[in-house]
Amino acid sequence: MTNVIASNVLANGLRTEFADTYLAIQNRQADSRLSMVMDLGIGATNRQHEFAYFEAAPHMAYWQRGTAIPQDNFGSVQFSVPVYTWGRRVAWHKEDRKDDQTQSLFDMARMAGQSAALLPERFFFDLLAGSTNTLPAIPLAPDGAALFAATAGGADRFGVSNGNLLGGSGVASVSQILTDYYNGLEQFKLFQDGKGQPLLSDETVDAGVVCIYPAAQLEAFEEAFLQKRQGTAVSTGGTTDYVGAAVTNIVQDASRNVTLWASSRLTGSDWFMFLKNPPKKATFMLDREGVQEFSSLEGDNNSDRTRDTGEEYVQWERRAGAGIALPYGAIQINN
Amino acid sequence: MAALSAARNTVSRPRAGRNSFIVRNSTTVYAGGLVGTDLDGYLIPYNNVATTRPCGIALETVVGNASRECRVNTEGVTITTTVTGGSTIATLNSLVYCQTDNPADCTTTAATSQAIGVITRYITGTTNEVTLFSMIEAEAKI
Repeated sequence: MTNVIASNVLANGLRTEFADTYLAIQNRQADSRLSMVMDLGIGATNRQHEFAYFEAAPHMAYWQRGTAIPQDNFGSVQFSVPVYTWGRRVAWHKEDRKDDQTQSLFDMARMAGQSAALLPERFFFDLLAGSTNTLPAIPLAPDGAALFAATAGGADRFGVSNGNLLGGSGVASVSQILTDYYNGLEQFKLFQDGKGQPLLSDETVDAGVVCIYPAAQLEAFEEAFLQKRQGTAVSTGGTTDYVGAAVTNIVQDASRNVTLWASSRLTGSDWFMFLKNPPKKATFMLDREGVQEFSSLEGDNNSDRTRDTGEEYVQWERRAGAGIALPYGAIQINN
Repeated sequence: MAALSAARNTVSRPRAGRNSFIVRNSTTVYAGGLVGTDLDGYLIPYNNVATTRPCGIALETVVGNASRECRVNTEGVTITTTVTGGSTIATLNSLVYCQTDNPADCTTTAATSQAIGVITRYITGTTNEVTLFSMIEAEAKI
């Protein structure tokens, strides 16, 4: 609502070497790793979309000679995802734009439009943390539970105790993180399809994971996953005691495929594992309309308000939503 | 003067919700702050004085020197803020007061100075939307 405050860029003789202090940062784009954990390619044609799928089909069973063939069914699920409207306007007095000695006011204002490219990442972390920092409401997964939940529909989610919400050991030590990492991998393998068989193939689980964790845990995670020689050799009484110290890194020894993502959008010590190659990604964005820019400048033919007030503006609009698919490719380590 | 007997060219300008006011000497109004006019007609940061009349939100930071003007948005915009006393949805439509020029100091408790707006949307227990009176609405005590 308040206009751009341009009072500090109007003095004659200003030098412009640092006019792009913020403009040069160019960080208003989604992280390149986002596409590994969020489906960004689903379009929308209305303000809400209903999706549906059949649950797993039954498996073959023994057919005893002389009896009728075994018969089983499968259910179906429907869920809906709304599309929201996003926008931002930046306004300034036309004389401020003209008198701006750095001649960068308009370019800076356009940074607000670049923010549209950040929306998918902001959606994702809202879904991840269950917080409404960007989205007005956090949807449930199609099975009626949250993105990460131990149970769904009154039973263990995916047929295994703790579902995709594992209690963690903490992030204080390498061994705690690696223990939780392997617990996560094992949990993926234990997921059931609702018909008594494993939900995910071992190949799918072993294809690798993306670990997303709070930026504050950067050192702990790189120590756990990337440091080749782990543990500290403790010298006691003139002899070197290696008890309790692992001298190699099991993740590297086992050639596990791990991508680390330390995000400043997460706090605390909870962290998340996403399969790199899931049949369906756990989160998705619903893209109704791409970003559109509208402006009201004094030279525009439709800028009545600018001519009435002397105030120009540029604004951006976008329509998009975000949803949760059945999250069999994601696990939260809850510390 | 007398009643018109012929067409008259009345010079006017659009009612676009913007006005400039002369800022009281040696007083600073800040962009984004609530502002009002004092008994002498000078623009000052909004305060808890009965004679201060709210007129809107300053669009620029100006230090008064007896002639310097400040542009003010006088159209009565809607702002999102915490309103002390506005923690339940039942406070929708309550009058909002502010004892300083800081919109974050909004309260539903009656102050010495007049109300500046109305809670027009309840969002959470700590966040409301307040639609400020336009300068004309405030003057008319709507």
